[in-house]
Parts: sequence; structure tokens; C-alpha cells
Amino acid sequence: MNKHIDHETFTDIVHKYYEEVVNYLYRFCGDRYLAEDAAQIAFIKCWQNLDTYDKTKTFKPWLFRIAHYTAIDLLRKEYRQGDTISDSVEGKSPTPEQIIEENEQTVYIRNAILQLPEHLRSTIILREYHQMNYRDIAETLNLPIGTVMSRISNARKLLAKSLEPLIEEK
Amino acid sequence: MNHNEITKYLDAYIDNQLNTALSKEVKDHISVCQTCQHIIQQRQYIVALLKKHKPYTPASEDKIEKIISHIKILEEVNDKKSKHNTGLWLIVGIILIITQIFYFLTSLLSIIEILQPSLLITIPFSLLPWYINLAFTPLSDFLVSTLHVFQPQTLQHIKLLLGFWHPRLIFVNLTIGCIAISLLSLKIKIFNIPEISIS
Repeated sequence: MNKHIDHETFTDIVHKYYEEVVNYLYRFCGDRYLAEDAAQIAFIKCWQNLDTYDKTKTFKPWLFRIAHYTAIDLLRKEYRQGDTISDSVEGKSPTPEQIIEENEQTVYIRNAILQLPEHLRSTIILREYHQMNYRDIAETLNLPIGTVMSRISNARKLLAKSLEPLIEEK
Repeated sequence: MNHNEITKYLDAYIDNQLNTALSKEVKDHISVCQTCQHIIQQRQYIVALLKKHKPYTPASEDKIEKIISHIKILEEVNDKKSKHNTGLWLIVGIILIITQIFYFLTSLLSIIEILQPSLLITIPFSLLPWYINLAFTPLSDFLVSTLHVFQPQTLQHIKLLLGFWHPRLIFVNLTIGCIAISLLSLKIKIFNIPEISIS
């Protein structure tokens, strides 16, 4: 037994959220292996810091916040090892497995998202792919709701520009 | 609100994140503004496009198992640590409480000795706690001895009580009592694990 939660309950949490967390991190940093490493570290951090979790708030934004900052830390470590942060994110080319799984348009969209500045990228991913409402996004990224609103708007504007060829195809 | 102000809320409007009044205001504006209608259409298309083409990576069961086993190890280490710590806290807490009870009883004996010395004859080993009490509380010892030897009977009783309840003694007693209670309540808190809801 530990803190607020026992091992079995936490195992359920890992099963319930692992895939969603890994996919958030994958969409955010574009690297499956980094996403898996960050998710693993995030769940362990989450377990170790359960006593700081405010039970009056929803669990998911808290977990996602830990995962988000863990991924940023890992990306910074990569950056210190030589790459720039944007290189380490934008320079990820899809693996052969990914190419099989994702069609051309998906890869195009994935790259468009990865080219967004980090602060816009995290906000738009949480909104579009994880269906978080503005309040939860604000809680996850520790921002005022107004900032979330303007970030989503700016991200969509930039995506509209970079996805113009797809929009024209329509 | 004018057109520029309304455009700030268009995305939140698409996402249904506005309150009813604001949402109605934006809706009314869109119905008469072609520029906003165009922006809305474009944004809705972007949203649909992103929804349709979700980058996805499957969850590896191995990774999940790795996390769970890692946490299990951490839990076992924590359990060992907390058992060791709670055991220590419990012993310290009990020792402090016994000291308090002992102090209280020996203080009583001290008062009896001065007020009714004949009563002490009926209490076996009465001198032993008395001397131990002296060792524990040198200030009360000093006050009691002084009062016992030099003061008239009534004044002696009053000063005797004042001596026992000297602020320094009260402070020491309260501190020890608080530490003991905190340690024991901490021990109780460790076993009282509240439920958590997963939403």
C-alpha cells in the first residue's frame, strides 16, 4: 500500500491511460520510442507523487501534465546532446512501420503538427486528438483559459496555411 | 461586440466552449458576416481533417508490464521503509506517553508527601518515584524543597502548586504531549488510506 492509492488501482490506471498518454506524447514529439520512454517515466513519477494529486480535480489533466513535462525534459536532454529541440521534433522521419500504418495524408498532417511551435502544438493536440475541453487543457498546461483559446485559434490558423494543399484538393 | 472581437471567439464557438449568451452573440454575428462564415468553414474543415487522420501508435503490452513491475518494486521498498519508520515512531510515542503518566503520578506523590506525609506510608516504594521525579524535574524539586522547608503551611500549599505549574514545566509537558500525540496520529494516518476515484 502506498499513499492515496494501492497497487491494483494504479495498475488499472496504467492500463486505462497508457495508450492515450503514449499517443499524446507521440503526437507531440513525433518519436514513438521517446514517447514510450517518457510515458514510462511519467507513470512512475505519477506513482511517486500521488500525495500531491488534488483529489477534487480530474485525474487525466494531472497525469497529462506530468507526461507533458517529462517529454519536454527528455527532448531537452536530446537537445543538449547536439540537436536543437525543433530538430529533435521536426527531424523525426516516420519509420517503415509507421508508413505502413499511416497513409500519406496522415503523415502530411503529422508533419504539419510537428512544425507548429511547441506551445501551440501541445494545445491543439490535446483539443483535437484527446477531446479535452478548454478548462482541462488549461489545467494540464497550467495556463489561463483565455490563453488556451488564443493558442487554439493561432494553431488552427497556422495549420490552415500549412495544410492548404489538402484544403485545395477538397 | 464588433467583428474583430467576435473573431477571437470563433474557435471556441466551433468547440462549444462558450457560455450560452456569448455563443448566441457569435452565432448572430456569423449569420450576417461572410468573412466569419468563411473562417468557420475553414476551421471546421481543419478540425475534421485532423480527426480523420489521427497519428497513432499502438500501446505495447510489454511496456505496460514494465511500468507495473517497476511500481511494484517501488511499492515494496516503500512498504519496508514505512514499516520500519512506523515501528520507531510508535516506540518513541509510547515512551513519551509513559514518561508523561509517570511524571503525573510522581507529581501527585510529591504533593501527597507534603500535604499528608502519613498517607505515603501506605504506598509501597513511594520514595523511589519521588527521587526519580526529582531527577526529571529539577525546577519543581527546587521549588518544592524550598517551600517545604521555609514557608508557613497555607502559603506553602499555594506556592507548592504554583511551583508544580510553573510555566516552564507546563511548556515542557505540553511539548512532550504534543509530540507524542503527533507521532501516534501520524501512525494512525499511515494506515488510514483514503479511496481515490479515477475519472
